[in-house]
Amino acid sequence: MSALAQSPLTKILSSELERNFAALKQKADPAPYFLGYSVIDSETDVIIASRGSINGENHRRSRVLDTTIRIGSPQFDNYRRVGGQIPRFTATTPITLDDNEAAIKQTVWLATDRVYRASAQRLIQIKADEKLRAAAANEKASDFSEEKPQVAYKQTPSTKLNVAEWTTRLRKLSADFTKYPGALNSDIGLETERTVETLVTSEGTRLEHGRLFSRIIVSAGGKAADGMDLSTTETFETDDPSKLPSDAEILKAVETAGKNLTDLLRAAPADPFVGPAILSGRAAGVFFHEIFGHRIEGHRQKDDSEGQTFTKSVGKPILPSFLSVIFDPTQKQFGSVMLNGAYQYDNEGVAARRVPVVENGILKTFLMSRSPIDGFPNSNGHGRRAPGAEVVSRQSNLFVESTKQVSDQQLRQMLIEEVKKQGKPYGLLFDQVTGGYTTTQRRGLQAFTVIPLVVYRIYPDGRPDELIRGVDIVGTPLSSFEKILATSEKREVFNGICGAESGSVPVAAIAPALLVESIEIQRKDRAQDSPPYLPRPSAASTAAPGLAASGNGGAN
Amino acid sequence: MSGFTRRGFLVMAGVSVPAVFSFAQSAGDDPLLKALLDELERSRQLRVINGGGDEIPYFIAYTLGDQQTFSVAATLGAVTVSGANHQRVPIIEVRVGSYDFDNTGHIFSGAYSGSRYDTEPWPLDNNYQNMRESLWLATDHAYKAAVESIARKRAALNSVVAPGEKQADYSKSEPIVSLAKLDTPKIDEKSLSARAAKLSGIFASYPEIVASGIEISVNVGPTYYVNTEGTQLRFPDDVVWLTARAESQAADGMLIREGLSVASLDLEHFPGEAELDQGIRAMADRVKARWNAPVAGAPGDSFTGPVLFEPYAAAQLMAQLIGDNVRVPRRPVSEPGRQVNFTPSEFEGRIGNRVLPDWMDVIDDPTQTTRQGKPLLGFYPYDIEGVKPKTVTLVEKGALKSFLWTRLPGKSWTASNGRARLAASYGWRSAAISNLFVNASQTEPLTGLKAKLVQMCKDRDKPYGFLVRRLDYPFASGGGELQSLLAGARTGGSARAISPPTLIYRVYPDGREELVRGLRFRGVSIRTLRDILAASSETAQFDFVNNGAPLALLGGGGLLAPASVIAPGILFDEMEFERPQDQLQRPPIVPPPNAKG
Repeated sequence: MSALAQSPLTKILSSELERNFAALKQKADPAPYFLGYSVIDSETDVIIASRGSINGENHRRSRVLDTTIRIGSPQFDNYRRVGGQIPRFTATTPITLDDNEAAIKQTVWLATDRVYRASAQRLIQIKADEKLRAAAANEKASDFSEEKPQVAYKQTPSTKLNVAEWTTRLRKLSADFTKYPGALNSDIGLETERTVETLVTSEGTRLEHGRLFSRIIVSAGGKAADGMDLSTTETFETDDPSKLPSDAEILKAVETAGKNLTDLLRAAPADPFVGPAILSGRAAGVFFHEIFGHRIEGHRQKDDSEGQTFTKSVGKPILPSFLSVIFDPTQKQFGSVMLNGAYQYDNEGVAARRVPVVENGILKTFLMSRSPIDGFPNSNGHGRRAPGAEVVSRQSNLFVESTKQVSDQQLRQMLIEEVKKQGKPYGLLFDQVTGGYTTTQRRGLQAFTVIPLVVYRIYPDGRPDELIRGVDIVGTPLSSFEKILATSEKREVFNGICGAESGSVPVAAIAPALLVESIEIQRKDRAQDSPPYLPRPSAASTAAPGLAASGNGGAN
Repeated sequence: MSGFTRRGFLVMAGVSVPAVFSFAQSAGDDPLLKALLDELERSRQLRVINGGGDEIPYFIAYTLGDQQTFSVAATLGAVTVSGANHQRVPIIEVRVGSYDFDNTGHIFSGAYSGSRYDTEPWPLDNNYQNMRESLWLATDHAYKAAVESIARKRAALNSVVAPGEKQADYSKSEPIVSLAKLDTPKIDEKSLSARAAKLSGIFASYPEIVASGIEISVNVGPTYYVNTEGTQLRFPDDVVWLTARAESQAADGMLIREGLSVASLDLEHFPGEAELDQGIRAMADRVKARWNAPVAGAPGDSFTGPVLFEPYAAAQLMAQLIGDNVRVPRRPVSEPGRQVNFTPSEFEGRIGNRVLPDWMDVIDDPTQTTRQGKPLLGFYPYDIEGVKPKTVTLVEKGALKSFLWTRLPGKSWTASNGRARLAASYGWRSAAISNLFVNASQTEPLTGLKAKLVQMCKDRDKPYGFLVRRLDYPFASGGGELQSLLAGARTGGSARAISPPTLIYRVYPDGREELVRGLRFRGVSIRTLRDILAASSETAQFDFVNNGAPLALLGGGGLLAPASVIAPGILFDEMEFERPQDQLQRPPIVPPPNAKG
């Protein structure tokens, strides 16, 4: 853990950094004021099994370099956002897998030259083009914040996936999906990944840090008789592959996904509806991530093309006063569940920290990278990216905290009361949802991209809950936040991978179930095509004469 | 899916048996083949249910590549990326309608507006039931797409004036049954990685070279092809391929790029260490020579004069001028007024016309496996439509005799000659050359041709003529440079771009040769072939891997059609070269890290 423990890669990158930075500062016009190299070393194993067969098995290791050069001054540099455009200068460049000094230095030198050219060109262009200059001048905040350089060399444990063992297990477990004939396709995918970032900058930052991630995804898809496509998914996430679930747990997930799909294929299609609803903890987590989290990412507040929903709301109530929202990448676990949005340093080398964004309903701050916004001159450790992208502010572990908690049973009772009060025939329970990229841009529709997968109607008269399919949420984010009435006591974790401008980054959301006064749904557009015309093949179905029966929801 | 997506149709051994076996018998104990045949047979029953319409499949074909791949990239002595993969790559073809009129050939043929369930990776286990299920979903999707396509095609044709001569959409082919024994070789990943690393280290001793790399890709395993006409094929389908690239920047900013492509049809015949070492060194030496060479003129200058192509460069030129024009693509059906991206053959409609001197012949022969003891790359026993290829005389005594045909009929078409080798749009396959022999009956030694060249310069008062030793083909200069070249060809009035020369020399009246850099061809097309004055008695074999990309762009994936071109040196009466106007990039501000001293 001492500074002496730096890897050969850090030494090679540091020496090439010093050489390039010194030469560019001396000879280049315009000269850079910042140079950074990031190498992501990633090793992945993937196994995919479907219905008793292995469909994919892959091992891969790569080391890729990203280069950041800032030219001009921290007040105004080549990264200045103009007209909503996020400039991209870096491109992932593979470097040798072992620490071959000559080869790595050559690659780094060439990448530096390429990134310098592109960076200098953009700065010159912004300064020369009258229109761009006018647009750029509107922004009062500077382009790069001052942060304390970090030096730390953290060991990332190495792991070894027992591929042979998992191949055998997944082959066997995936065969259980054959019990659900409605599942046209289904699989169990296992992915393990070890990533280590090495970051060196001209400010003196020297970091080696990494993470382990393992995940099992159990999914099934099918087509209802009317053409509607339906799918269900169950996932497990953990760090070390040795902590992956047991066969019994995976079989339980297969059963849940298979049964949910079978039930959905038979379920009644959703009708347009406006009324009260409960979002389960996991659903609420996705809800907050998609419609709230993306809107408090700092870089959106300085971009005119964004909706800027909350830009002028600091110090004002934006959520019910019983709710607080905290982003905390320093939390590795919630109970026994690994949190996918945990990290020690962000991709700009800023130390991770707890950031209370909303306290008792009042907006306090934004998620910040080193790109300052008016009134928020510093990073709070949320500058993130996938290799090959430029850093923007991104989410980490989103915690929703509530002071108005009731038991699950009480929450359900409150829903029923609300149904009666509003004179509705039923309320809704969103049990499982999945997220997509929220459109936050001004031009786009500011709507949800939360996609409900498993939704029930809850009747006030004691009838059993009724599963419905094809639910589409309609409405605007702000109005939904105003209508949260209460939350459950228990919180649930949703671990995911979030895709946005700076690529895919791991995130988590931890939230209680929410009771909302009103949510509007419609029936989603269904595909116009039929389920397969021929029934699923069986050993006996070879060359059967005559016309085949129509597939009914894929079931046969 | 993995990034290594090469597939070819190459066969080393095939045991042909008459096509009289029933499906069940011939499938034997191969569960994959049995699954293919059983689901193929069942899929004949496909009908649109509840949707009206009476489109029935008249032809179904399944291709399944069972591929073990390994790929390793290295630079300056060390590996940067390596990966092994096993994948099964299907091509599912369902045709509805009839041979006369079917779902193919519309600009949206193959597009499907519905959802599909056959997208996951295909089973890797030899599991009969799972393979059937994957085929079931894929065939359902392909059938629905075919029904949608034929409807669109009918609608489009309803609103356009019918062409004068109607051509059928597909043709029948004699069924072939040939099930080779499976014997997939083992890939020695460790030794290939070590070899790539070692070879890539050669560039380190050339300070002129700033960026370089070696990639070795191995793809082994059988390919299956079965269709409803009764064809059943199973054969090993291997290719081993090394590509090398090197880039340098001259003091004036001009980028100098060289590529090398070495392939073999199996691991066994892949060149050994010494031969590859020599090839890489020769390539690095070419970069160095060009780096030191003077620039030919100023941007925008053009030069005309007599040109001598040495045999290797002549073969590279013929691969393009002849190879790209002896296949005749059909224009797809589209709604009136819609722009269709389509490059016709420059030879189309010229059967019987003189295209070369009457002392030259061109023969494409995929049945040959070796020439003068050296393997030929263009050998394959069946094309991707399950047709056994025939030897085709393309040009006889200078006159165009025939084209390379797939099962898609065209003007002057009589039957497929088994040249479906590459993927194409609109539900079609593209023809490609195999072993292309450019033969001359009147020849003289190269020294004689060079003397002629010098004499011609003197006679015409030209300060020099040109000698071309090598072209950048397959194109190694990258996508950006390719775009500039294609744009340049269009403004220069050529139908197609021709790869620029990498080794081109001015030949002065005293016989002195001077390497120059920065020249491209201008206005070269099939008409240029009529300016051939003489051919050499020496010949060269040029091997390359055709991937269907413009100029066979080095590194392009997809279906591959390895080919060999054999040609003599050729003297042209006149050709035009130009120095392009492209902006040159300033050399790096920071000196290179590994500079000596």
